[in-house]
Amino acid sequence: MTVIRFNSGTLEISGLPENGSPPELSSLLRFDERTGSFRARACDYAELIMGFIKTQTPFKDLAKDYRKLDDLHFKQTITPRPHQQQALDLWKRANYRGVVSLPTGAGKTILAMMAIGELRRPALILVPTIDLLIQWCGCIEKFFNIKCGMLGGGSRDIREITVSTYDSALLNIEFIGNRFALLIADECHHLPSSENRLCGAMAIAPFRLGLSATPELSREYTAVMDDLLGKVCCDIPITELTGSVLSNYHVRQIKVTLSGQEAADYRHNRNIYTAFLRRAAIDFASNSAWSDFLIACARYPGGKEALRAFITQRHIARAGSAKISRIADIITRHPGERIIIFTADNDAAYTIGRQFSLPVLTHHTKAAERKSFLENFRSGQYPILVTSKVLNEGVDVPQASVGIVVSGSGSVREHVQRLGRILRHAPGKNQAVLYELISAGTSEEAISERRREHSAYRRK
Amino acid sequence: MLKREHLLYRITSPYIKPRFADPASVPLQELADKLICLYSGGAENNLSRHELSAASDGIIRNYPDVKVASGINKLLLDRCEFTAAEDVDYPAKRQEAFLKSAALLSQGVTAIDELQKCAGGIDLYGDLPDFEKLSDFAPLTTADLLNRYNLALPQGLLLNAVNCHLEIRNADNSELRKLLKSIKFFRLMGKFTAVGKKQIDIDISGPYSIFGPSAKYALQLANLLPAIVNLTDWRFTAKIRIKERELTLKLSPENHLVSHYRNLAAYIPEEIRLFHRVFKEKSPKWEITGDTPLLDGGNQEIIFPDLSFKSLESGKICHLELFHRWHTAGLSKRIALLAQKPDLPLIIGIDRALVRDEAGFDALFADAPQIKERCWLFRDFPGVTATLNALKRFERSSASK
Repeated sequence: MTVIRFNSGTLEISGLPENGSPPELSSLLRFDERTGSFRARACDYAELIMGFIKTQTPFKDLAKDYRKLDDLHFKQTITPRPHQQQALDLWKRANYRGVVSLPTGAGKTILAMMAIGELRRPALILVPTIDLLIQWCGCIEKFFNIKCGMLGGGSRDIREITVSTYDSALLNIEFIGNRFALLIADECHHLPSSENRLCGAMAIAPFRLGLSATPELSREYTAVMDDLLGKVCCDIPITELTGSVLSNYHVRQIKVTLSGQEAADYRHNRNIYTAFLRRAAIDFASNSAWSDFLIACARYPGGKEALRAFITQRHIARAGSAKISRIADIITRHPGERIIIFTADNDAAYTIGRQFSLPVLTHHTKAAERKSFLENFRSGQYPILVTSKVLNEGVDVPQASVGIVVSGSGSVREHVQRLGRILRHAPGKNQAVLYELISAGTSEEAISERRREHSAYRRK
Repeated sequence: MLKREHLLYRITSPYIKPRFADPASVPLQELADKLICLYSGGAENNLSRHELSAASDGIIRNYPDVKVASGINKLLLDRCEFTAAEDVDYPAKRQEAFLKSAALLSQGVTAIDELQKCAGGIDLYGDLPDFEKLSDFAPLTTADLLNRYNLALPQGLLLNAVNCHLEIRNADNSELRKLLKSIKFFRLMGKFTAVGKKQIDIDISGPYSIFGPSAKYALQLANLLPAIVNLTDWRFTAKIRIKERELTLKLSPENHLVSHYRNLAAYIPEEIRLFHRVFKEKSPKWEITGDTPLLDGGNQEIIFPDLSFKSLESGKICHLELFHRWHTAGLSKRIALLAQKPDLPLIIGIDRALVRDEAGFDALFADAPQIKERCWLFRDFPGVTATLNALKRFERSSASK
């Protein structure tokens, strides 16, 4: 009798003769000389089982270690919005496997709750940050009569419905990959990276749901996502929900002029840096440019000065004094509103936090304070929150109506996600505004052009 | 472990060669000494990360090869423990400051000078990692540090390893056993090939590696290297992927690498010592043998028994394998193997943490009820009486065959 076992994130199939596997399944199976048995990827579990049934191969399934959650029920009724119902229907039609692309604030979490309630089977939810881990757990316990498991942020409590960061899942999936029937990947554009993809590949979950506002990826990563989660089965653009489900918004780009001394310092340091790049023949169009630059800095004469010059000119462009005073102007213009200030790095975030005595949320912020910052921001006790990257994705702060991008990368995804933070509807919120501060005459102008290549920005 | 920016190597395609440091170099020893003194003294004086970094920067910059010095410094940093900064309740101070600034903002005050005053003269973020204090440092000798550095260079390269191949020559059983235990401990798998009578080749990778190159097991491979270095006669080859290129790393005893893994063979945990003593007292018919061999389960399955017993009457040997709470994956497989190979002289102790209850224990043997009498449950470590009972059942069943 053929026996299927879950073994360290793979499926081990014993009892099949080396040259006797059904031809229909040969693409899924590899003969493993190390164990003298066949092996398959855990993510191919459903296909494998279906294949055994179709080919009438008798088998015993010792891999699956979950059961239907008959006692699971909603504590609170969900009345789905039309676009959420449409997304769920399309996902079901795609055999419960696929990616749903909805703009930030359109209720992806609610959709996931609907999916869990529909299937009533153990689920593993992958999220990119600890803030999202806490938020998802709160949501599970709010909607279901169940205690939610947490994996990550110092917690290792695995339950029938468990939320995990991608990082923690990667460490544990080879042990727990057979305990869940449903895999939900929040901000699923994180899944295809060369390491994270194993979170999907080492889980047997036959049902899979990917959620993202920005699922656009390179061809290679799209293929990985299609393989591990299924193709995009529902795609609703931001423009379709603006004004109804999402707030109306404006994007204002403000160019600030560096002060005389800062402009001189910027030019001086920029010249040192670019001259070094030319000498070391580093082409920033190549993928390895950044590591090439660091290696060259350690290896060639003048490297240390070039690195220092690079850091200095970047700091001036990202958080020069002109930007700081412009932040004060914007705050004055929005009394009583909730404002999120985004920076590209922690240094700039803490500089602003110290100057204005404002809460700063970075990966250094401990869990208890992180929670209190977000709660106080939501309640209005803290009207302004400064963050580098941790609030870029997913975290639910619907009260925020103003975003100030002090600095950022050239990533379209990062920019769209930041816009998404202020788009959620909340009582009393009519209009959201995203300010983008650019130091004129610096490399920031080109970076800004790159990150604005999205319909959400072309619209206004 | 060293980070990418600390790694020193030379590429002579298709090979990648670590640039090992010379532990006998006087300037290098002086550098190592200075850094060890800095961290030892830093722990006594509770220096902050920032202070340590400023002081170590000075030492590193004065050494001709900054990359070597930074790498050695990194290994020392890994041996440090830091605790939170000053005796100030920063979260409380921050909360106070944020409420004050919120009040000012609500009155339309956005002047930086005014808002800054809310902090009450302290650095609001004075508890960031830079301000943490060095509370403990695990000291080591200069020679140990330099040996550790030389081993860390190939370990760092192995973080990009796709697979590796090991040739072991003239190894005795105990050497082999230690290595195989390490492979198992790091959850790696090996394809073993005997080459003649005195050489064993092992292709080492992880279970998922069969589906394509994956760096998933790279850290485990890196951690295995000190165990390999402890062998007497070995050749190690790894495929390293760097900048889209696949390069070959070759190592052998000629590289004079020294392992920092302690030889734990001499250490006997208290529960085992106690087990041995009570067993001797209670068992006139069985004795614990000093040597516990590896058992060949077939199909590349090697069993590492925890203890071996010899019947004083029949001379029969029986081995005991323990499945602790961290051994879930292998248990059902072992029961299936015993069902297939009932002649294996093996009894199995199972930690109660692995089965929910007696019904769960029974369920393990649904397909092989005859194996149940070879197994029993224990809590933390098996008792002597239960072990003797299992030996008695084993002897009875083997006599009836």
